[in-house]
Amino acid sequence: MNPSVDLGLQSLPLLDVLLLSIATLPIWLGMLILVSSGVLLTLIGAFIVGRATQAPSPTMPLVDHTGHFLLGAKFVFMGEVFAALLGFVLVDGGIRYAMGRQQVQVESSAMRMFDAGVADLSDPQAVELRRDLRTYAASVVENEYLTMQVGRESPAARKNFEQVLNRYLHMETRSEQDRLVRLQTDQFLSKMLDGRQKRLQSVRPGLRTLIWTVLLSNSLVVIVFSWLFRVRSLAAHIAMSVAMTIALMVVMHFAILLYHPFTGDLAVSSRPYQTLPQI
Amino acid sequence: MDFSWIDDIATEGWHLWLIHRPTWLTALIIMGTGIILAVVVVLLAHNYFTGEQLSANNEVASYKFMFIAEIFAGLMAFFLVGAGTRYNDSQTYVQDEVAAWRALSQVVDEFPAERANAFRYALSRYADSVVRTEWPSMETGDESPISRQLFSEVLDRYFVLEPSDEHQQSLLLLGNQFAGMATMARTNRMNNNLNDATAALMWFTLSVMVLFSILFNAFFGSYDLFNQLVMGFLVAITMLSCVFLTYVLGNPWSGPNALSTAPFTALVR
Repeated sequence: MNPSVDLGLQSLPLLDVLLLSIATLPIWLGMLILVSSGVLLTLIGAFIVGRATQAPSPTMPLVDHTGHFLLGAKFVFMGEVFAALLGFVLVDGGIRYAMGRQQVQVESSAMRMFDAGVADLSDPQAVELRRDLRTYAASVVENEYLTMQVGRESPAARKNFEQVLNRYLHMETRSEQDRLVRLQTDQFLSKMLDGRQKRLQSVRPGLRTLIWTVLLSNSLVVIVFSWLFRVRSLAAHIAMSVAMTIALMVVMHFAILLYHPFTGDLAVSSRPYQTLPQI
Repeated sequence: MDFSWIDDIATEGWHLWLIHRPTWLTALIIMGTGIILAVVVVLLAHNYFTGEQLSANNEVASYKFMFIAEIFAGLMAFFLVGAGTRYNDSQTYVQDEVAAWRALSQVVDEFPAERANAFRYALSRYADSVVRTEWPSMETGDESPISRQLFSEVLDRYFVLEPSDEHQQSLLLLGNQFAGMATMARTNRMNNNLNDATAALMWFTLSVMVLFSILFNAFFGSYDLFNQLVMGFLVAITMLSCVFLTYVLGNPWSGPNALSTAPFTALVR
């Protein structure tokens, strides 16, 4: 990690820091921590509520079958609504992840084409421009890949991009050949700008904190609701609740990773920015 | 006691009044109303019928309730994804427009200072008007006439630039692309608003589904009323927290969670 890059973690909401911390961990460890936390909560709750409401003798009915119909129906209702919410979070995260990966390809391809086009221009500044382009690519890899983890663009990368644009604008068109080449390189520069914007958009937080607050509080409600069931065997009750929680937490962990396309084991590779040929 | 909020509701309308409250209060009002209704419905049903009488419904009612759950979940997913997409798209259009203006400014800087300054001044006025007048008017889905006029002025200032040589001619070709990007982003930003009738119909449909889902609880019975109230409370929280999230995401220009005006403010000189 580049120590000179200030990620400004102290200005992030606590929930965002927590999610980022999980995304940063190796997949197995992040999943283990998330699943363990959920299972621990389930165990404590199911044990306490289970003990308090368990039938005193095995022959005594716990709750009549119509009562479980009521509980079951409401649990299914809650499950459906929760599934809709979780589906939304997965779709939103999936779009972010796909957009991040796609735009890295778009921007880096446009850079390679721009670089190749600029090499054909007769202005001696072309070499400097190609160097600027490599400086920009390096700052994306070294700085922006880090700041994007906290949903921000890197001021250094932005400055370097503007330097590329600035130098390109200063270059002179000396011949008909130059004019034709510039028609192409203009297009590639626009694509670079567009790709950069969309790549940054894929990590902008938006209402991430609010969305995850609602999702996590709903997960808690679903887990708490499952405590209301009464089963004759406390062990079976706990086992069912734990299985449900594990399934829930595994999906939540996947959603956390999707929301952080440039972090952790699933991070989009920075390699496309490192493929510009040597000058 | 201060009842000025009643006047505020009458002036702004329910929708704008509610979205302008702090996030916690908006959540409390939306979820609290539903939770109170869920509790009252169950208590009323148990007031007229015994738990035993109502319990006889449970088997059939549970299947029907599950059917409602499927429809509600489908509708909720549609609304959540729609509102989330709208919020994200609005943010994208704002960033795209500002980035295009910034790039265009760099192109214009290559032209004589007098023309470049006139362009920058017009852009600054436009950005200022977007922050001051267009953001509030977009709360109701409207474009600001002042911003629209100033937007045209910025483009006018750009299109009066005359190339003095081949180099400047090629710069204008690039500038045209950026001007096109800015125009497209602005148009998309404007068109990303729902018209009143569509929004009203969507919220009416969702409200009906929420209402019937809550009222349906009256058909269920239990010997343990407290247990049933806890269930109703938890189900209402799940259902209404999703409604709350949809409400906030569906209003990207309003309230404490509105999109930031900072990108446009940075263009103001």
